[in-house]
Amino acid sequence: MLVIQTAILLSGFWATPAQEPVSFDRQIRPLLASRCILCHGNAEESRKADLRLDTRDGLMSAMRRGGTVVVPGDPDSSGLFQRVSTDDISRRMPPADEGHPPLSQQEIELLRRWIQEGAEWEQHWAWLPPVAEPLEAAGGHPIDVLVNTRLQSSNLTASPRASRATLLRRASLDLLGLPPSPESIAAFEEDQEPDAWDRQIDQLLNSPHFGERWARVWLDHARYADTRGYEKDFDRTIWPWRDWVIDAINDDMPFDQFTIEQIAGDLLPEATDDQVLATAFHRNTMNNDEGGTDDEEFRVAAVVDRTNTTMQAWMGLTISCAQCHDHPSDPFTQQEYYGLYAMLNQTQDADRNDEQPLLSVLSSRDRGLLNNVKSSRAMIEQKIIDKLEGLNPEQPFIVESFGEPRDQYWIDDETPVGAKINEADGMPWPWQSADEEIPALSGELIHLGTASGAGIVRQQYFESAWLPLVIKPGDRLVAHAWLDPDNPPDQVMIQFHLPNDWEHRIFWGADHVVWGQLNTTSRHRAGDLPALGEWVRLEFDPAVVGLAPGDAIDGWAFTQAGGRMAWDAAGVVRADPIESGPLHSLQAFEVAQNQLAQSFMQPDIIEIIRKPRGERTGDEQKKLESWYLRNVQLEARAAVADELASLKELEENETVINARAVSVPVMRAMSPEMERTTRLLNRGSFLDPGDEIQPHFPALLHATESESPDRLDLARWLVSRDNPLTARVHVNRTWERLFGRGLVETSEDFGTQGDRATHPELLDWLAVQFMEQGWSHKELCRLIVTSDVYQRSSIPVEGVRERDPENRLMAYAPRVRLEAEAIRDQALSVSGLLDPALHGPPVYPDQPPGLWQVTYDNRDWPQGPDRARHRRGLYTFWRRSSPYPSMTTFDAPSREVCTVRRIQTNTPLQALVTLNDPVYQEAAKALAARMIHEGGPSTSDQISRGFELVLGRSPDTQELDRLVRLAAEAAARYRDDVQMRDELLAKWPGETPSLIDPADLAALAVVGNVLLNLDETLTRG
Amino acid sequence: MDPLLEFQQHLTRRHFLGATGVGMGSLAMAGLLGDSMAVADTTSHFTPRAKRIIYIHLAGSPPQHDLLDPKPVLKELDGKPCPDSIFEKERFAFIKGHPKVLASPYEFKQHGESGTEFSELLPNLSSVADDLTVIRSMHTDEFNHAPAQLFLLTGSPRFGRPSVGSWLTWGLGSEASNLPGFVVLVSGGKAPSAGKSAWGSGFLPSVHQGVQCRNGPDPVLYLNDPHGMDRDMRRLSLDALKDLNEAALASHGDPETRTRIDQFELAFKMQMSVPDVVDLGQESATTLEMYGAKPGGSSFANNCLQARRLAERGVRFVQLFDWGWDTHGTGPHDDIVTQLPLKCRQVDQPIAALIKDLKQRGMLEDTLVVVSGEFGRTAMNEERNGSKFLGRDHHPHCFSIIMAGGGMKPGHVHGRTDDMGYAVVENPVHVHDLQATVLHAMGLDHERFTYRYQGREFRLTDVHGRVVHDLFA
Repeated sequence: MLVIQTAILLSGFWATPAQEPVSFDRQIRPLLASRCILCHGNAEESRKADLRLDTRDGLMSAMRRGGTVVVPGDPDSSGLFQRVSTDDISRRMPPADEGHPPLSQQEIELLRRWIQEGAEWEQHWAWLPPVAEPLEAAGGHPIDVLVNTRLQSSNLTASPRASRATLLRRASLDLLGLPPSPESIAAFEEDQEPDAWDRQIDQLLNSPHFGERWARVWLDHARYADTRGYEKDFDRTIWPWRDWVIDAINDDMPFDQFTIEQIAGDLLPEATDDQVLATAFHRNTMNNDEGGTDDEEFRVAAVVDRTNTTMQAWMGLTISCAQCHDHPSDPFTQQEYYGLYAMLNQTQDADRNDEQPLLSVLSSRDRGLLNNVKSSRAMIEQKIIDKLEGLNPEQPFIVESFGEPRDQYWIDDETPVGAKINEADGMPWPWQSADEEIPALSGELIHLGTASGAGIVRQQYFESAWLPLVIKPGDRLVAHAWLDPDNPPDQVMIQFHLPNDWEHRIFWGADHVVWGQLNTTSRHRAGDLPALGEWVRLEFDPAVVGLAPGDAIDGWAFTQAGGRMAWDAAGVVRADPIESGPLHSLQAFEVAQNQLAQSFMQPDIIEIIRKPRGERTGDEQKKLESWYLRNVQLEARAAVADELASLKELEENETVINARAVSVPVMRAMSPEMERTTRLLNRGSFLDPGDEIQPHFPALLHATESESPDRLDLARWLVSRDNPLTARVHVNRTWERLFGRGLVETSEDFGTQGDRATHPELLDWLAVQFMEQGWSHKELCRLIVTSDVYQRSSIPVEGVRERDPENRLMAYAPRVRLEAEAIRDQALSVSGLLDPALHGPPVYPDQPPGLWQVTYDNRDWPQGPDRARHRRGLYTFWRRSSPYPSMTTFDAPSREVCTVRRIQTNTPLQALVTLNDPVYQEAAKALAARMIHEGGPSTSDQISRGFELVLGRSPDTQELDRLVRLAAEAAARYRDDVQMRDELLAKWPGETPSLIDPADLAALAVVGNVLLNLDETLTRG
Repeated sequence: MDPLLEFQQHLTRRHFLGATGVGMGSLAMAGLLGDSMAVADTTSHFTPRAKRIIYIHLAGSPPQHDLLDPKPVLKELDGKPCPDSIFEKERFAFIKGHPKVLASPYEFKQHGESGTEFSELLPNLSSVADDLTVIRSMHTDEFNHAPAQLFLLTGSPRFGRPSVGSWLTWGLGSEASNLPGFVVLVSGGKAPSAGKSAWGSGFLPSVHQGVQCRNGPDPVLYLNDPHGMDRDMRRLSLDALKDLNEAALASHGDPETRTRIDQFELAFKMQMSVPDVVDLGQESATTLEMYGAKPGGSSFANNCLQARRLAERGVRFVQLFDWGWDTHGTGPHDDIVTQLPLKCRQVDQPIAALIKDLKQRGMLEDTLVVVSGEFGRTAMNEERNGSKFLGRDHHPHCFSIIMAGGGMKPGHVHGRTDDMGYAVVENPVHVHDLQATVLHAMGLDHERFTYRYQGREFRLTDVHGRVVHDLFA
């Protein structure tokens, strides 16, 4: 068949009308590029005879041995023409002795005509900015105008519009990667309004799955994976960046901003965490954690990869060869390569095993929760402010002596104001309500602690109370303890903190805790362990722990060795009231603070307090008063007790949420004094650095104002309105996803060796439109899918396929096999198994055991029932050294380097996946259950329902009959072979449907398997 | 100009001139792939010596001083600091300080008529000395495992290039009906450091990636019908699938659908042919004994026998990986006194058996067998953290490999290293030279055997490599 087609095409070639002038860019440059340029091109090192044919000057120059390469209008005097057309094999180009065939007669004739016609030279189209030609007032959708003009001039008839069912399935799979439900198709079919299609598209563009589907495309470009690559291939936590991409696309973040944030979000002024997270794009490079590697070697490899990926993903340029030498065919020098490299060479990451620098980030769900906490907090704060407004900071307090010494508690149901609790771990004081087992000794709360093992020390402590407990003559210290009779500690200890030391300890029981010195005030043994199972009073003279009148205790520690015990009410035994004045009166508080040698209060407040009242400004006084009411005064705090309790709860929530944060590798710039000197690497070897290179952009392309461009300049340069490629490349990428092939088929190469656009005017018009519509990807999608061209039937009109076998003129819609992820997602979706949750850590669906045989490591794919097995394929854990097998079978790359285009194959291994991979079995069974539950009583209706679920259309009679026959045949066999039937029914997902003969159920599962394997199912038509 | 004609010109240049020259290989492949566009437009460039390759990679890299490259001089220097000239300019992976020379604890003897010297650790290979070609002058650019394995097998130390097996099936197709053209067999309990990229297809169509054939009941992933579906039931369902797909094809005429119908049928056949080829129980007791293979088990010996069975059925490229050769000497698990003899016992007999077996079946002349690591090991003891176990560090400047069959000069030793076994002094063979030579053996000119990707012609040998004609008989 191929041979026959070729014959037609070749005859078409001969039939080229002679009067058409030859186009340099369309016809001559590709010829030179494919046959001459490797030896006579841009690369100086490999250039032969000092002749270059890739520039106008080169073509018009004198030849080394006399004559001129091209003499316009005079082929016979043109060296180029002479050398390719000569019969003298020793002189003929390309050289026969190196195995190159001569140019064909047609090619020689083309060259002759071009020279004859004046040898007009044109720049390679992709180096010139796109220009949208004004469209004739032809009416209609611009895409249709541009495509149909060419169809008409080729006399090809376009196919009519596809059926609504086909259209919605097509758009849904293209835009979301998921099929529509039969119900939404039915609704669309019944919708008679003229804007029915537009509204369908709106819905699809607004679906959260839109972001997932297009993130999938971007992840290949970004070489996203959940491991670091190379031998060790350790796990890498970078999925929050994947979620960032999903969200950015769902929010329709303009592509220019999408670009800037990923390349240089960290360099934006006042960069947000999200903007820094975006830079993880370039931390998807591999790390080599293998033993005995030189980190610099693999740091350089990562920067090289970033340089290549940036130019590849955004501009469709293949500059990687310029790493070792000047690009052979495109006008980029090795110097220029390192000019770009220099901009990416100033980040802190350096192939370190710890992946530094890292950013601590939360999942988007947690960030949502945190936002809720934040807004609740703001509301409560406002309430507190309102309630405190007008309260008096001066309240009366008792100063008279009680006469007799009595317990006065400093710590009871709360720690003293300002106390810093457990600084080491930041956990709050473990107050808890008393209960029957341990009633409170005083107040309502106790604090209970269990050591994590026998003899293991557990400690609860605070420091830096704003109002210290100042020892007075005659004071005794007191605390209460309750020891669990079933699990008592060996030792109980109390410690006191003065502003500078903790060397004041007293203990009961065993001497496990060895701080301080035994038998001194730093470790005083007061006696045996007290009684168990009841509150015991621990009272002692401050002197035994080395405390004297005037000492200000600002911290207290409760310590136990092993066991379980509770503490309550601790303080001082004294006849005078402990100075409670500061807790009621601001003036008293100020006096107390001013008496202290050292204050632990926040500096701005203590600064005000230190000023005499008369010297404070009104604002200062007001600030102090509201601070005092809010933080210290008992009356005011009682007035807002509920609010304070709510705040505390919110804080605890926040702590819990924040604890779920993960660390993601991101880009951070080197500090200026640490910046690296970039040198050209001879032959690309990091061991052979050459001349120093300043950051600069390739001379051929647009310039920037910056003298010494950095990463941010690079990002802005990529999305500059003057950039001839970025918009074209994105438009092409999008077209490729929607039509199975880009307008430029070689979407990875827009250089002179790549394909030309099939519809250059359309590519340029879309590129300009894209930029003018604010780089909106959603608008671009909308623009394309609302065209007639997109909506055509995929069945060509008679004779069209023969004339245009590759459908380059788009007379009909392409049929495109679904991508790896979509095939699986679709099966899960139509069978009702799909877990549609967005975001989150990667998941581990079923994988055959034993596939991970990682060197120097025994990690294995987690198996077991409790995994998120039915999430979209996008979330499947992506291990570079062993990617998920069914994905690679369906042409997914290994994500080690940037992949712009997945080349599709059609193999028996793919058939084995969809026939036998357990997930498709599971889906077939779940689908059978849906057929029964949703289809009605007859087998025929059930199968019909299954067909609709999978394909979005009803079966025709022939199709239905065939499947009904299969069901009957299968059911008969399952009735004969009960064991086989039961094997199939085992491991049924969910509840096995009752009210149906098990053999019929098994047969429907077989039908389900066939439905999921239909060519039409695997293909978007 | 008529735009359609313009496209046709464009097609003519870029696709059809190539694709119409469909080679023998692609025709042979067409059965399996159905998609002839996925195959190179090359026929062989010249008459091939070999039709297929069995490539045995000893992952981690065996020490040449103890196996294939005897260095009596080391005995005199054993335990002494190595010469300054070596130490000063060198980058080592693990060695710290001034390393000491390590003589091999093993004896070498000449064997066969050719008199090739082999270590006492390889008694069986010694017995087929006259069928082997030993290259002692291999060298590479890389000295970390993953990059060096990639370099050897894909021609580039970084990821993204096709492996040699992919290149060959792309270029020559497969002669195996109902089997993949490129099969991978892994032993030693671990995959190689480079992971699946060691048999990846890089930028070539993914159909050319190696298919790992595993031990156990599901030798190729998803080969088995699920529980509750026997062959007849599968046939019933495939018949229905085929009828429905044929009907659809009749309505829209998409040639890809034709291909897909064929692929399902081929899958059905593979479900029979693969279990058949992996069933070592079909081999005679004598053969099993010769390899030391045990049906149903999992071992390097089984893989060697498996390789022969695959080669017999026309599989183009069989790639074996065996793990456990990284003999640093940090403990008995990776030293040259305990671990190395253990590994040698595992591979010596099966490789020798493979050579003999191929020979007795008349297959050795057109089957090229290659046995190699990814780099060499040092002449010095590594002594990592003062380890008392003997072992050698990574070494890129020289290593030794074995080739056999496929037109190689039998009983031949190629190249020479210096007295220390430190550097090549005669007939160096770079990794790219080896690749060029392997392609040459298969009838392919490594400079003309290219794939256009990202606007340039890519080669297995990058821009380097020369065929070592001396190696051919």
